[in-house]
Amino acid sequence: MTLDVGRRVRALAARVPPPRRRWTHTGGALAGWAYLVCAAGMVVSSLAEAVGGGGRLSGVLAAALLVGLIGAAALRWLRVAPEPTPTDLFGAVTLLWVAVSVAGAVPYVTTGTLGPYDALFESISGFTCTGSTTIGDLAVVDDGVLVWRQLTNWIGGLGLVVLAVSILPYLGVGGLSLMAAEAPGPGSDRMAPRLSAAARRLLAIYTALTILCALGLAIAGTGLADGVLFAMSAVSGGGFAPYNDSAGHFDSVAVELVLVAGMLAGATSFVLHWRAAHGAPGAYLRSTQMRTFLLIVGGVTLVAAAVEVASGAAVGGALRDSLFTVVTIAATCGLVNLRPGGGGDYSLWPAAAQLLLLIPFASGGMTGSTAGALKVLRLQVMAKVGRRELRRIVHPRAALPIVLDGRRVEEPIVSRVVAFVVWYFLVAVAGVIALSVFGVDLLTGMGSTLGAMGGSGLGLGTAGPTTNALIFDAPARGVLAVLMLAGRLEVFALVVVAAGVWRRARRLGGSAVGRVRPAPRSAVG
Amino acid sequence: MSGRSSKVRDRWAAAIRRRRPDVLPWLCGQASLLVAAGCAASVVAGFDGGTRTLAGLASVGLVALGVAVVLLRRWGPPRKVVPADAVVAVVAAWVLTVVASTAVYLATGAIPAPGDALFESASGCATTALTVVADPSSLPDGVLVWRAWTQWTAGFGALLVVVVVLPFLGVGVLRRRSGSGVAPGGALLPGLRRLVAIRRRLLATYLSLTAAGALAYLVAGLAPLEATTRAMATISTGGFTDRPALAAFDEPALQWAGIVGMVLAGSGLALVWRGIGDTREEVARSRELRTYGAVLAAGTAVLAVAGPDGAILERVRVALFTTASLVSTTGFAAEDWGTWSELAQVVVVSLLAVGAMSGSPGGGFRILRARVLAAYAAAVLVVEEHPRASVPLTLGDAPVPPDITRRMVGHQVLWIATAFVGAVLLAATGLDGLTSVSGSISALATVGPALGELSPAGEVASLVGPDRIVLGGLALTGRLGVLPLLAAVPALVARAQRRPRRRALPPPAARP
Repeated sequence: MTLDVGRRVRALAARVPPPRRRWTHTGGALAGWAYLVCAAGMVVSSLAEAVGGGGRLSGVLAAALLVGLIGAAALRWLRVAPEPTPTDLFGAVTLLWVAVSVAGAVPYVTTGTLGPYDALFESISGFTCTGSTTIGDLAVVDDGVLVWRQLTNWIGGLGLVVLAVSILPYLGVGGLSLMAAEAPGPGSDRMAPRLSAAARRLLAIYTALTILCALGLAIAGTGLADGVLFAMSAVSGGGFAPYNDSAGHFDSVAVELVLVAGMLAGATSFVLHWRAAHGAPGAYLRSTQMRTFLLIVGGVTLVAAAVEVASGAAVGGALRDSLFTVVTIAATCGLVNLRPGGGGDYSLWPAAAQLLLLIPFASGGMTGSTAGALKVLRLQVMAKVGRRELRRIVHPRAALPIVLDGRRVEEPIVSRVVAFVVWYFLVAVAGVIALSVFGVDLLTGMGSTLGAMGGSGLGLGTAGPTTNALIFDAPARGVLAVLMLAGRLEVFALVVVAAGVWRRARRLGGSAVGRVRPAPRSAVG
Repeated sequence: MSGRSSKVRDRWAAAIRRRRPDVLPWLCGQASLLVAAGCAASVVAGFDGGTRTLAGLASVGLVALGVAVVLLRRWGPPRKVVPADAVVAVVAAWVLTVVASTAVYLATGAIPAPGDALFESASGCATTALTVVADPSSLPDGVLVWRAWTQWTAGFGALLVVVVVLPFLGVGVLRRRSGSGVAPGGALLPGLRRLVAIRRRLLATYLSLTAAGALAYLVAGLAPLEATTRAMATISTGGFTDRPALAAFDEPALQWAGIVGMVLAGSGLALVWRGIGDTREEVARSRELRTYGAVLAAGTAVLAVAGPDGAILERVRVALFTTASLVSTTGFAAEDWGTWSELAQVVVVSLLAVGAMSGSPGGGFRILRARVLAAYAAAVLVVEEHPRASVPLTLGDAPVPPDITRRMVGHQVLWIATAFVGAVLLAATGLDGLTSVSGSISALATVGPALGELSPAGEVASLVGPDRIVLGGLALTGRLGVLPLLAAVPALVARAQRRPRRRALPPPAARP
């Protein structure tokens, strides 16, 4: 079914007479496609609302019509550049995410659920799979809007470009570069020689995992509708839930275990899923990244539970809470299992256990998964960089390459990883300072920044799991929204675009910064 | 008589010639000699103090002198040192000084509890301003001088580590030629003569700055002894005072004297100029110096707006004092920044981590390293945009070798990891999150005061055992450089493996 979509789109496009002139604008063309996908999602949400008997069908449908028309116009008049430069690609992807966030905000506005500013925040939070919300009470929100929220999570989970590459045949040329621009981390193995085939396989795995998780949740007792909604959130690492108390609504260990499995599956490299599905289940444990990820999750869970038990909590409850919390943060999901009496509220834990959560906050999941944050592979590389310096003291003249999974990591890749971490750190520090301008204290700022950039949407201090984004002032929410986009675009894209804008502004002012000087030695790259 | 003395001199010279070269006992001997000198200075300064104080100082000083004589008579400096040995020697010398300082506090009865004495010693030798003494003015003069002496010698030792050992390990921030480059890693330590020459020049400048600081404090209204100890704590970026923390700088004149001293100490300007050989013009062109100035200006501006209350000039003065104290990693406080706004508190923690200039005895990230990291990240960003470009990594006009950059990055990774582990350990002892995070960064940066319970108005004396151990450990780790301390154990193992084992030789084969 999925594999036919590309052909159908191509056939449909062939029927439409070509315009006399199409302008080359990669970001605009991609946004046009994404708008059509959003419009389709809004139609699905309207149908869900119609089935549920809600009264605001026209609001979501009107949004679908508006967004669909804009998308169709963009696709008709704009096209993707055949050979875009890396700067163009970074700009295009950034524009794509901003434009889609604007489109995603429309249903909230047309249904009167939120004002434009908060609607944009909600939309960014949804597409970037962060899960922070500005809706104070979800019980009064219409079903169509709730379904749309979950869909924004699901659409954003795999990355808009991956979806585009898997469906749009004409994206084959620049697709790889686009995907790299969207997620420029240390790359994982490709699943197929052809990019479009690889992207389609990613989509297939993503869909299959979502269906499996939804079925598991339905069997565990959520019902099929809630199962689908929660599965979309868990596998994508989104974190939106249709209930105020999130997963705690069911107060069921079985439901929580299925969600934990779904979140872990989403945060695991899809390449490993593909290999496992093709007769190599041992691929999971052969991957050092997988082992490290499990070590982080298991280790922090056990230590946090031990600290809780030491402070007087029951063993079973402590293990349940710490497992769910650690997994939801490591998978950068953000679902919580709040229960009456303070269960699932990690802000009530001892300070040491809360600080331990900074490890999964920073690490996130594996590369090639739906999880955000630094990613385990990068942490592995950084740890090996640190260890190499310790070994260099004992063996000053030894050649000490960095080896992962039995393969040597080339120094340019190490440089890229290190630079990424440095930029991530710099943006995070800037975020904490910016939040503090609006009265956010250090600990809350640190937690919220890491939560927003990583994609879990959770925080520490006053921004615990029982609160939402409304505890921040409007400008602070704006800062968080920018941090979410920066994190989802893995920092580089946004920094490159900002640097480009800065450079252009300086050039207009007569300065000539930004020239690249060739150097024969001591070069990076 | 003269014959006997010449005989002793000859025997000593012969013993010196016979010395076995080994950097570990030699450096420990040097440290013992410094301890003995400190005890002597404290006895002289506190001569009218109690008998127990003098006896305690004299006894520890004599023992230290004996240890120094034994070690320095048998072991001398080697011509070449491998990094592992240098690391082990530096750590051992520091530990020896901490132990000796603890003995002084216990022997004099100034700090009777062993845990408290150990913490005070670790804090002093790490040049942090954390103290378990709620009111230092109640201590005898001799002990006050000893406290200042630990910081002063530790500051000088840290300077030698910065100038000699860290570049040797490849993570050095030693500026060569106006901060335009960093020392290449992997080279062997400079020869003994050069080392001695560097040490002499540094010591002369260090002494001059301390004397100037003492004079400034004297003019600002302090008594001669207190002015001297305050200057020792300022120039070493230590932070101990002879009064309770917030009462030490309650006069504008004292604050101005402190500002000048801390800015100079944090810049390492005169030290580098005189000690390393940069010319005045080269120093003036230094990018690092400009960054240092920019950080001071920016920190002062933000804190003046978001920090203290009062008239604008007073706010600027307090903000400048606080910024200079944090960036130079001294740890003096004119006001309790724990009561300032959230923005000011976040800026305080950011300044804590930035650290001082490369040629200074201060701690923290250090500005040159931060610049290298920033240049590195910017260069990779340009490569992202232009994949075929070759982007030179430069500081000023000189290139930074990629190897040095990688080592610095590795060092910073370890720094951040250590700060995180420290924060978790502090939280595990029962401190709140804010105190744990800020306290860990502050201790590792060798500042001392932080936020929460560790704010300048807070009482370190109220902390219990485990958190003091963690804080003291972090402070020593930050003082010695994260890399040397973490590498000490594997380096010790490597040293033990490298030394020839004494084995029974097989009997010589009988000749026909």
